[in-house]
Amino acid sequence: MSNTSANSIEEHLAKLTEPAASTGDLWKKALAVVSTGPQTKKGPTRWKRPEWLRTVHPLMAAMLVIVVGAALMAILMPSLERQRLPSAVGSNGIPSFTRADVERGMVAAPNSGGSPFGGRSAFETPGLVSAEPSSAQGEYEYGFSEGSAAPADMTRSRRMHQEQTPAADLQETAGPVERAVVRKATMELKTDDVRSTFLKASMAIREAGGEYIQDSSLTGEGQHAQANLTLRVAAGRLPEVLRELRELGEVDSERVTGDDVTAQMVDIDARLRNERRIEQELLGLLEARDDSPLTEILELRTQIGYVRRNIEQLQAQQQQLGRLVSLATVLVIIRHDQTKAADGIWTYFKASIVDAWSYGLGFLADSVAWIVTVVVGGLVWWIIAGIAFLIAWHTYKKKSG
Amino acid sequence: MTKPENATDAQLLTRLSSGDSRALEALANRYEKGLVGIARGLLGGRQDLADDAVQETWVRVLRFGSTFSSKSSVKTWLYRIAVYQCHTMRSTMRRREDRDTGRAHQTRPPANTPDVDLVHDLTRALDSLPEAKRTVVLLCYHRGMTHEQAAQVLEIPVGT
Repeated sequence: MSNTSANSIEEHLAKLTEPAASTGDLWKKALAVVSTGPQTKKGPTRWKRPEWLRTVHPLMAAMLVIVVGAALMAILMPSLERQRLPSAVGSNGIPSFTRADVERGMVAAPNSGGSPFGGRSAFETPGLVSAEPSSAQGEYEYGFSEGSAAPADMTRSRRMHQEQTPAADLQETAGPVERAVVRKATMELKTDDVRSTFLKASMAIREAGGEYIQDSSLTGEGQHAQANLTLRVAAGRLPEVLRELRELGEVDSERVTGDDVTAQMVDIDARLRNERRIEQELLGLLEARDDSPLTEILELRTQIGYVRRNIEQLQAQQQQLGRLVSLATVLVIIRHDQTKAADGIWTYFKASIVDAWSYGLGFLADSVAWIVTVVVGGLVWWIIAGIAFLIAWHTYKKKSG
Repeated sequence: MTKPENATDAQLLTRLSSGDSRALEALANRYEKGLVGIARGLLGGRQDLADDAVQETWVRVLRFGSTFSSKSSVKTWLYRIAVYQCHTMRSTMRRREDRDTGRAHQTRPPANTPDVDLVHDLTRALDSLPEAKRTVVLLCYHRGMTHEQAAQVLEIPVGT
């Protein structure tokens, strides 16, 4: 291509965008459009930002949206957490009960409409799985000679029961089961007179009702006196006893826990019934085989002995659990009230500072935990909000040139 | 206060934000013809569409003049708005024509050009270019627009 034609092309390219007089004063039309609004144009009416909204900077609006979102999350998340955890559950998976729980009956199932084990099947309880006797396999082996009719029957019978127990039996009995809870309470009291409080606390039990003092000690004298008392009181009377103890002095701390042993009780009960059935079958075999060789009869007796030993062990466990459930344990620690003895502004000031420091640290930990919860828990929403904000900002920048 | 004719572009924009319509008039006196020219080139020689694009550009200047951040010159800002408007209008126009006729859009050369064949060929060649490259060519050959300003309008480095 020659220079002339190249120049010609450049000239024509320039002419394509040559500044030209417009058909009218476009800026006046634009002014008219802005003053009358976009509805004067044909086509769909576009949303026009109200005047008050135009004064709000997009960044400020975005910040406001984020703050409102965070506040909503902060409000919603604890309620969701409560929804997920209908009852307070301890680290060992056992529900822990507060004083209020105890006073209103403590054993009320949180979700009575579902499983009698509080929404958790008894068969999932770790304790129940380990409750399967490890020696059971050894005890179930029989040393009868081959071809003998009796051992074959017994083995079949034993196997059948093994397959059924304990799960099958538990399922059979997993109807309306009353909950069994082992209750324990610890109370620390401060009082001017440790000795008299100790004596009064000892009188809180009713020996006629089977209640007793499991352990008691009184050490030190004067301001260094301390008394420890372990009471075993009827489970139904626990709230009443705690109320009486509270009146004896100033309560420093109080803790009430409940250990749900319903699953263990049901498990023991099922195994016990199973062992009794086996015992009956073995006895039946013993009666039906009077003419059998002596060795087989002796073997049968040995097996009956094993089964009876199992029954006794299970009965003992059942009784032990029953005692634990029927009698609550209350540990009372009584100390001399030091604050009253060393009353003074400096002591008060120091105690206040220590309290404030502890409270401050706790609040700081709670705040950090809350921020972590909001940031991590709402990560998906933050990403969505960020993308939305970027899109909105990009669109805004495009529109404004 | 200085007269609008003597004020700088930035001053005019500030006055416009405070409601002085004479500032818009002054800006239009400076840049409207050039904006119409580049819009006409970008819209395949359609004067009517070019007028619409420039009018819409002024509307946006009126609405968003207060958000001008002085990172670029007012001139390149105005051209950027106009180019964006032309792209929007062109894509809308093409979609509509494709839907209505099913045929590819064919632009026609300006009626007042002396060498119709060359202009027609040039227009076709430009039409065959991608949108971004076509804009670059037209801006670079637009009178009164330096390569640096064209780069600023398109927000790309010089020499891209």
